[in-house]
Amino acid sequence: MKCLIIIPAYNEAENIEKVVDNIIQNYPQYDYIIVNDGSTDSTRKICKAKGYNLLELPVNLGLSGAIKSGIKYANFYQYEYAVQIDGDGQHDPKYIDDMLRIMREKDADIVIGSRFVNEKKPFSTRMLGSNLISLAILITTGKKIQDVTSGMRLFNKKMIKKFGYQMNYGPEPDTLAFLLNCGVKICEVQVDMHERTAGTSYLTLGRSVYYMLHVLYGILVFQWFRKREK
Amino acid sequence: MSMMLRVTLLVAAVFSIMWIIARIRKSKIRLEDTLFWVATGIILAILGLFPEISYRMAHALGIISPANFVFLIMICLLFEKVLTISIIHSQLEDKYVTMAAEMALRCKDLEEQIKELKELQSEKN
Repeated sequence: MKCLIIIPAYNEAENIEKVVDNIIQNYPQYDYIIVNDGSTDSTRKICKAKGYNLLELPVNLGLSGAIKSGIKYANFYQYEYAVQIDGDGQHDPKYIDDMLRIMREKDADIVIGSRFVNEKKPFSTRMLGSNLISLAILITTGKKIQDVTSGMRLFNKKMIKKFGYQMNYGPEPDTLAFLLNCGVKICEVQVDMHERTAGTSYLTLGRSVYYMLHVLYGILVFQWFRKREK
Repeated sequence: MSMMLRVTLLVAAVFSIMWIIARIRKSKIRLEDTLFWVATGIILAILGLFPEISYRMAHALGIISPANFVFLIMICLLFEKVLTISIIHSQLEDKYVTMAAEMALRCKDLEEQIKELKELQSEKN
């Protein structure tokens, strides 16, 4: 049983060392791949110097492109499971074990590392967005996903094939809604996330508004036009 | 606004939405690129179904014929599309230059490494 950790990294020079060293030292049972998404800082240099397992994208593709590359890598080297975590250290690899266990027990296709299975959502603008997306998914699929925007997701072989090779399978909540309607089983596992310790978050106000528009359009309109596959 | 123009607008709206749905079903287009066409289809349909909007807006803008307001809207939509395509085009152009340069550099790097290895091997023999 092989599990790959995919770490997309865009300008994560300040965090990447800590994240990867933690995996190498404490979780040697998992393989990992860093996808350097055309970083303009010293991310590449650090990875090369430390001899990390690195996939170098020649141009910046954005998060979905980076994850797609990582998932293609997982498929190429025939991994059974692939889990994506952020390069900024907010996801703790200690939960991967739990996620794998739940995947096998419940025969799930995707397991989400979720902040809000047992705990309540705090009240903030960001969580308002998260609630809106949750509600849209509930209305269109009849199923509840608490932490839709979590960047910690575990995929099985079937999902690796889909996310790696098909169009419109971005790592975003609208894909989850579509997959739920295709009969794919998605579970959530409670995890704690750390605040990012260094660097800046990708989400700015303008991007957040565009993101919400994109995701809500995807869930409420776009998914009905798509052909469903078992 | 003539009945004929209204019917034409509705036909155009239905046609463009049907076309885009067919593309989506065949997985030939990305979600991001469909938003504009779906919105355009809906706008055309609204203009065809509710001509009062065109009359009111034409009056407010000082345009004599409401049909001309419809054309104005279409020009604006096309203008927006050309602008975004132009932006995306220049980004892609830049990206592909970067990509070609990066690939060339990496191939060069690999060649150098292979050469070094071969030299090491011949020294050993």
